[in-house]
Amino acid sequence: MIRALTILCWALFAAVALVPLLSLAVQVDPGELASVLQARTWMLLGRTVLYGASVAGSSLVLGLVFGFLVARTDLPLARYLRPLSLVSLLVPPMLLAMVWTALLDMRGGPAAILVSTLSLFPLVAIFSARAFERIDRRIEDAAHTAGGTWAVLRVDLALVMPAALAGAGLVFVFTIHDFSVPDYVSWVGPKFSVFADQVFASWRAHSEQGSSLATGKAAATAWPLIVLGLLALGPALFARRFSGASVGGTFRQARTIALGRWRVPAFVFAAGLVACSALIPILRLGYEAAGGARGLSTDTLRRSFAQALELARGDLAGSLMYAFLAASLASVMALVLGHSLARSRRSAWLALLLLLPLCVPAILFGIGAIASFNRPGLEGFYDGGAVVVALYLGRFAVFAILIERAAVAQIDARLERAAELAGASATTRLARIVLPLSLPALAGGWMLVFCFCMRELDAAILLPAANHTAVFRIFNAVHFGRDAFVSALALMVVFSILVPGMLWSLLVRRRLELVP
Amino acid sequence: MAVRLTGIEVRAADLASQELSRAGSPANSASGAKGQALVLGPLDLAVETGEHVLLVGPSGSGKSTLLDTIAGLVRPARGRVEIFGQLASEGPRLHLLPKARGIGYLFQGGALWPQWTAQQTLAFVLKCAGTPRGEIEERVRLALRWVDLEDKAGSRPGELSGGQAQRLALARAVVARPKLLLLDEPLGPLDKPLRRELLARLAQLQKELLLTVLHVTHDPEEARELAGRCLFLQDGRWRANP
Repeated sequence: MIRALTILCWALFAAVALVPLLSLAVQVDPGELASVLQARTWMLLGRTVLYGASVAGSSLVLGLVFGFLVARTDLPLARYLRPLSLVSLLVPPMLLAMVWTALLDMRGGPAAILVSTLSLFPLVAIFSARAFERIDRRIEDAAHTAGGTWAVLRVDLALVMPAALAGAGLVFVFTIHDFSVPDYVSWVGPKFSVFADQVFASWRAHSEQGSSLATGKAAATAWPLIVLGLLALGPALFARRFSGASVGGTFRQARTIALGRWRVPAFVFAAGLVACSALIPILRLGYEAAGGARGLSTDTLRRSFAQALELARGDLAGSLMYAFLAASLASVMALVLGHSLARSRRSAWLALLLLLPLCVPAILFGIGAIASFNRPGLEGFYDGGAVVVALYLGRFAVFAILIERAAVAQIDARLERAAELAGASATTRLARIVLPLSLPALAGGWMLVFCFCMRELDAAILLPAANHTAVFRIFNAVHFGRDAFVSALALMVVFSILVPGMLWSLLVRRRLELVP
Repeated sequence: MAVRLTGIEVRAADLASQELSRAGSPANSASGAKGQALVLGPLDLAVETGEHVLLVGPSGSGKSTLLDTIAGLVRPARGRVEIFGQLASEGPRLHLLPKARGIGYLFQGGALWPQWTAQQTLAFVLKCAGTPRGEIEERVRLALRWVDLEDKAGSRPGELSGGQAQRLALARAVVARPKLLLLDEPLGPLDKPLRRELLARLAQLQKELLLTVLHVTHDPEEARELAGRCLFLQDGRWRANP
């Protein structure tokens, strides 16, 4: 039974994640690959790398400091600041772009770097915070007796840096693949073109000459981005294995560090970061929904929400349904595949296979999905909502699987063995031993996939069936400057994204596991 | 004959593919020459029904691997394992699944399921063993009485003291009435009075349930009075009494 389930999950993963990539690969003309690197594409590539490196670098600094403060020090309100910092990662980056470009009257590259940093620094923060928490007290004590606080910081930094770099690697990949933020900050003023634009432009330019030609051209155009993604993700995830430390297989939680006279400045930094990345954008959306500069009123606020609900009810319901289904399917896959990977000798190679969809720009993945599923015999699937769920699953199931794999690796295998000896079948062991013990990881994976699906735009923008989603509706509406409507709808999306996390915090005492 | 091992050989690669490290994280896969190195054997062993055999040796000598091989949790590269006259495995091929071997296993450190109370833990084992639903409650109560934990039926492992947790692990190992009991450092985390108490409990259970016991320890004095025989293991092979 369990073997059949594992095969079924791998088959599902192959169908939704690997088939689109294969469709791209087979349609590339090898001769095209070299011709991609012309003067203009070199310039775009250089700009994209610079953009990605700037965002990754600033996220590394902010995230590392923030992670240290909330995980290891007596920072006031740390237990609230930590989950609040995740808000900006979970909401669509386009909403942050809408707010900060309006507030600072800022466009082009600097605006894209600011918005992407605010949106993605939590990735470094959660990786770093987790790594700081995993340092054994005795390791710090040994450093302390050897050389005091500086020795502790040096030892800690060496142990945390691999995890922080893994987070920064992910930030880099997410940034260079992103299409929506550079697109949004370019609507007014000078165009900030990045390489992902070029992939889309190449596909659009050739789409009238035939679908397979356009797919091949887009895939050929994207190869430098794919190589960059692999170069950033591979070492980052490899390096993460060296972070954290225990002594002799046992673990003692490290002591909380008293900030002393740095407590207030540290709080101002951490609270300011959370305010800029999450609270100010949400308040600004509320302000716009209530009338903004034209005069605030509760009537306008009510009308905005009523209008948003009336006009975009179907889109919001569609988003919620697709995201719920994709996250739930991803959780089942995560339980089965995450466990199988954690207990398998071939885990590293199979994990690399899982990472492939992440190395491909979202927009190219969308093109791959079209090439795979827009064909005779699959019309019902392609025109319906199932293709949207498949697209989301292909793009994001990897997060849930890797988080579950890490959680299962922490579960002592003897717990399963004891059950095996007692006569429990593999399915029973999975359901009764592994599932309850890894529940925070499964819930964390579910939540992450749900949020990423809710905020997905880049790949979904290409699929007609995915055009009936709330974020796509916002993307279209901002062209027409309907501020109150857009802001109200954006707030509804933000609220929908945050509800599962809030419910978990209210109802369950265990902390969600979000780090792969 | 309760257990007969003939020509057992376990290589590092056999452990890497099937076993997970004691800390709970996956062991690094061993390959190449390192993977071919023997971690256990070649060795033979014969244990009579009702015997209590003490297996003694330093850390890393292969004691736990030997128990895992008997339990069917590690598949040896070579050799035969017979349990109560039945062929259990021959080389890497399992003839009897671990659950069908009639074995109770007290793992090092207990390895108790943290999500369940004592009662739920024992009920789960009985359910897996196919015990009729109507009997489960009574047998759980009896097992808890054996180890003097009746008042802790609703407690989870995290709420138990070291000695209580170890007694619960013992109850879990014997609740389904196995014929063969494997004990891996059962007294390791306990202080002297608790050790004496658990040993007394063990002797009583062995008599009541007619158990054959294979008892792994690194301390030869640990259960000398219970054991009929004491065998020394070093670097995966039997050694003469030092």
